[in-house]
Amino acid sequence: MTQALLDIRGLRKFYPVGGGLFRRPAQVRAVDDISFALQSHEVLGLAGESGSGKTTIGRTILRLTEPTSGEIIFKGENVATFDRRRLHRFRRDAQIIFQDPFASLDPRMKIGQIVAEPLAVQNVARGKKRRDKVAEMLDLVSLSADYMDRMPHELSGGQRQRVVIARALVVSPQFVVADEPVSALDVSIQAQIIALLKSLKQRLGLSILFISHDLAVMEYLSDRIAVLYLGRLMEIGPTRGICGAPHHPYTRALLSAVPQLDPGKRNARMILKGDIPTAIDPPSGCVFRTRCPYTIAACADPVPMRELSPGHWSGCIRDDIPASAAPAARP
Amino acid sequence: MMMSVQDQARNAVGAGVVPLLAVEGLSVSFRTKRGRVAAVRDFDLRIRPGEVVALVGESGSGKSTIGHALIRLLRRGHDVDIGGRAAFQTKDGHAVDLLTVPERRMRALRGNDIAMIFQEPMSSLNPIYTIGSQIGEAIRLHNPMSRRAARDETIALLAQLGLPSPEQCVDSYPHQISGGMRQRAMIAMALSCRPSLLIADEPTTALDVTIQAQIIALLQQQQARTGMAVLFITHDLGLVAEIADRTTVLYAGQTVENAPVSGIFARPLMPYTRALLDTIPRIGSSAEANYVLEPIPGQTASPFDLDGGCAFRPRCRHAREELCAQPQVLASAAPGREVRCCRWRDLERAS
Repeated sequence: MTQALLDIRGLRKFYPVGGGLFRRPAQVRAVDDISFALQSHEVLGLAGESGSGKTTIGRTILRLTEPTSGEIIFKGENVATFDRRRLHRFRRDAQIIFQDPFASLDPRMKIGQIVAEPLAVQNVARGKKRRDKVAEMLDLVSLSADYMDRMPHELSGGQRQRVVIARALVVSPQFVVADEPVSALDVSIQAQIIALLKSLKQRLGLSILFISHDLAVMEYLSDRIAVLYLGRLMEIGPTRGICGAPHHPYTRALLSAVPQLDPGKRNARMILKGDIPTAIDPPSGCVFRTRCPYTIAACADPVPMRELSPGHWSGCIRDDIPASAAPAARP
Repeated sequence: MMMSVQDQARNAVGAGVVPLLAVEGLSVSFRTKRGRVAAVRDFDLRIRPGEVVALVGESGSGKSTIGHALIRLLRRGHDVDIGGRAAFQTKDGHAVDLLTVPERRMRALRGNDIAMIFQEPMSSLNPIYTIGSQIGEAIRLHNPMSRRAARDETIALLAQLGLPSPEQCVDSYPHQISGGMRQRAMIAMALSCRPSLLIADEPTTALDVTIQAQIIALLQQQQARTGMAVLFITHDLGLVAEIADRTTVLYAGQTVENAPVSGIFARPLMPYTRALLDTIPRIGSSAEANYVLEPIPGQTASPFDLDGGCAFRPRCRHAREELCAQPQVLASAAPGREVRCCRWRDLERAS
């Protein structure tokens, strides 16, 4: 196999909470020993609910958040050890698209300035060249050049998200973290942005780490999917394998929880008991075992990831869970 | 359903049973700096006892405005105009118009006859009172009883709604419990006086998917147990398929389609409904070779740009300006089905 564009090894991010003068703070294990690789021109989906660590992973890879330990190998170099100058240059290769296009655009800047800002920061393309580049980017996201002189408040949510995407792509990065890029948008606008991301991936050969809680969107956009729970990796594999033949009970529950557009399939769901436990004191062994309907005594022991089929890994030790429990993909 | 002649005679509406709620010609407009803006236009709705009706629409469609107007969180004032009627059958057998009934009477109805749950349970619970005291207050307001008795009833209710350790939860403050538990507590409060109508305004939107599945199952179970009617307001067609008997699709403040839930998914008539269904990614799409999402072009209509014609026509690929620029009527398409599109018959034939 050729070298991966991005190779994450044993990534951890712990946050201290509480504590005081004489008391050691407890630690929230937001991301705990995560390893995965991302190939060039690939979209990897990071799926999980709130508290699963998906956003923290995305931010840590870009060093917007400092990792506690682990390696982030990008094109053969460890991002975790980059100094300020190297990090600055790294941002030409790696960018981020945020969730809320209302919060991530400066309300006092014109759209043209917003999209040009990364060029100014990176000191590339000046004057007319810069303006041309901005116009080119706006065109790429299907906004006319007229938008350059508009303010964010004049734009709708979908248009703003296009601006956010143009800003991320203006420095021609190879790798983009897209953190819930469609979650804040209306249903009819979501599909526009999903289609845009899909075409940009094909036209620009982008590698995307696509973070979302919406498995249906993820299935449409991703080549591979990684399922996270409480800061740990539950299952990772090709999209068809994860969505068509999920192995881990959590993946099954997550797929089953997505409401289907078919009233005939009511009540065919697997409903989990209880809430997501706290990441301060996660369960031993499999962290999902406290909510898992198939848990057995051995689940409290360490659960290493196993490769079930090429590229499809699962952290569940059981192979005897009936497939009927899985709401498998229906053609 | 079998019915006597007397029943039918008593029932002026003739729709089977006397509707619990009959909204006719509801319109809501706001006066803003940019002029008057119509948020809801000539809206009709009928809910029978025990029926679950979904109001679906995107932001700005008017779905929440309707919910707020019906429970009178939104009332006529110097900047709000509300027109129309909303006839509601109270538990004690009277018919009242929710839009005009005196505030005193309305206060007696809220909670007791009509309850509402909201999207964000944290902002609808008071942070400085315990869960138990807030639910107890609602119970005692409508059914005078001792604090002690109200507390016992609250605990029983919380247990029924699947909250783990209800004795502990009753003394917890909202911030001490999780989002899913808060929404359960909200539902407990809403159900505490056995309302005949529950208005649920995006009750699961702020929750994680696995918790959403729990709450939807809980609502279904409680609906079946109490036989209350539910007006379920949502943007998520998947949830509509999950929970509703009938659905009303809104666009730009108007009903564009009315249908039983089986019909809307099997045979949507309004081009907007069809387009919306094609725009939602489905689980299992990766197993289909040629699956392509069809985005709806353009943006949701701004209420300032309405011109009297079909509000969806700038985004509709079936639009014919000479036909669609005319005001569109909500036409009956089949028993129980209505559609606001002059071209629905042509499109139906073509497909």
